[in-house]
Amino acid sequence: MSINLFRVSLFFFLTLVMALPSLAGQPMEQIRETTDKIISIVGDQALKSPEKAKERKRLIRQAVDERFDWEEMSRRSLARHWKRRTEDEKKEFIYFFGKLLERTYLEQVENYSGEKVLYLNETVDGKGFGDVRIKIITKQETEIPVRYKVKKNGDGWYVYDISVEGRSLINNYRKQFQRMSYKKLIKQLKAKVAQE
Amino acid sequence: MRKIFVAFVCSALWTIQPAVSSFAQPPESLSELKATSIDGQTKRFGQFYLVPDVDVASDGFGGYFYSYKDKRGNKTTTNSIDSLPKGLLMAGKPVQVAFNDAATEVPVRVAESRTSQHEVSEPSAHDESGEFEGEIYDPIEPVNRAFFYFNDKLYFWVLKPIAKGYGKVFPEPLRVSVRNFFHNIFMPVRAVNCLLQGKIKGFGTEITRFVVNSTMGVCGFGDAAKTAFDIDKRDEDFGQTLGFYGLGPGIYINWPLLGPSNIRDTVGIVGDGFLNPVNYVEPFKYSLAIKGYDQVNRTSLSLGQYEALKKAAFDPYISLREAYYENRCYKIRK
Repeated sequence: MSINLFRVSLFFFLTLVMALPSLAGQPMEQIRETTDKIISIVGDQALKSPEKAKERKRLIRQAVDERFDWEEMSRRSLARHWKRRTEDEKKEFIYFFGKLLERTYLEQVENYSGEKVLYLNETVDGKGFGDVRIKIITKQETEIPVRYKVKKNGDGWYVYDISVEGRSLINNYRKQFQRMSYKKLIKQLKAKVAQE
Repeated sequence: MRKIFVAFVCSALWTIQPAVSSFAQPPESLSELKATSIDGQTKRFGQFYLVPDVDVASDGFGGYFYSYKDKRGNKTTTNSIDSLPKGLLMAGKPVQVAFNDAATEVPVRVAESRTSQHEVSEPSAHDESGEFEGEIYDPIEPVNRAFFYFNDKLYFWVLKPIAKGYGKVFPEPLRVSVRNFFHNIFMPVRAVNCLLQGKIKGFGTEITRFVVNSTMGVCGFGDAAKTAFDIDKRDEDFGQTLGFYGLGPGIYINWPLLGPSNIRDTVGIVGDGFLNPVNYVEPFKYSLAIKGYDQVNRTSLSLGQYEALKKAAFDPYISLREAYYENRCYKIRK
């Protein structure tokens, strides 16, 4: 009886121990999933033809959308401007800013040609924030360390900042926005997005 | 040359002197901490300094948790800066507290800064790793912007067309080899700076890489040390060495031709110049030509990067300045 109890408790203990790493492994796994998805779209020969360009873009966009938290990015970039915005203004900004970031990301990804991605490590705190560190090795053999900052929402981890060699995307935008009036920056943002 | 170097060191020391002395002595009382506002719209942030014993973590809503060990050794956590024992507020980890007042030179009191922190910095960066952003000191911004404009035109009108033409003639693998060759002969810069920072392993790595790449890598054109032995390259320079020992960047300078820099890194460039073998090539015009060629070659491998920065930026000058600053901080930490 007592052996049985021991077995049962061992079983529970083991499942618990085995479950823990998979829980902790979430953000990196999810980033990897998204990255793999994008790489497979980019490398898909069937989508390479010019008439498929739109479809290809749409698919990449969809994959990126699933993993990026545009609202959090907007909030952190706007900083002091954010609080003074109405709900509609916030929504508008999130939409356009998301489009701009998406495009910037897309242009980088489109030039992808066999770069290697190494998944280094991840850290997660108890408050729903995490860090995923990867390294991109370009075909020129240059190593680029990239750090994703992620926030938990439900079961998913969503990227709210990307740092490339220490250069944070969101910090960079925040510093630029700091000295601009909101009116000017939203106007410029819309013009930028329309440029495409 | 030596005179210029001495002048640079003196001016650098003069610029950073106040920063160093304020680090050495903790502020007497909290009311001594000042924050300034440049105009009605732009505010400079006041900074509090905490001793390294205090751990700062974001609470996820723009505020921070401060945890420290009290006199009995119990771990205590608080989310308000003014409930910290006074002795913990001094040189150490800077904590950014937003200051929101249009008046200039107003002493920041802790109670005030706490309320303004809630008002302004709600979406401030969440970061456990201690990567708090600092403010870049840029008093000669108009001059810097003029040089930025100059460099921008220089890139699009001169450097880019040359690099593009060069890149069309020579295939990429060859250009990568040339880049490796230059990287290899700059070894003394990295090795000596590893040594200066006490990074003995890094010093060994650089020497090993130099020997392997100069022989197996055929005069440094190949990176055999990486491909065959997986020895990673190090990236150290004198600016990083100075930063490693706590020297602040001083004022930001956007040099014509050289681009973004600051007092500390300029001293670094001059210092590293003595270790750069190309500088010992006689006559001077050859040395200059070699450097120009290296620049063209490197540009041919990074075409499109500057364009991407410009396309994504609202104010390319600020964007480049921040990117430079954060990248330097990152390299110094490493």
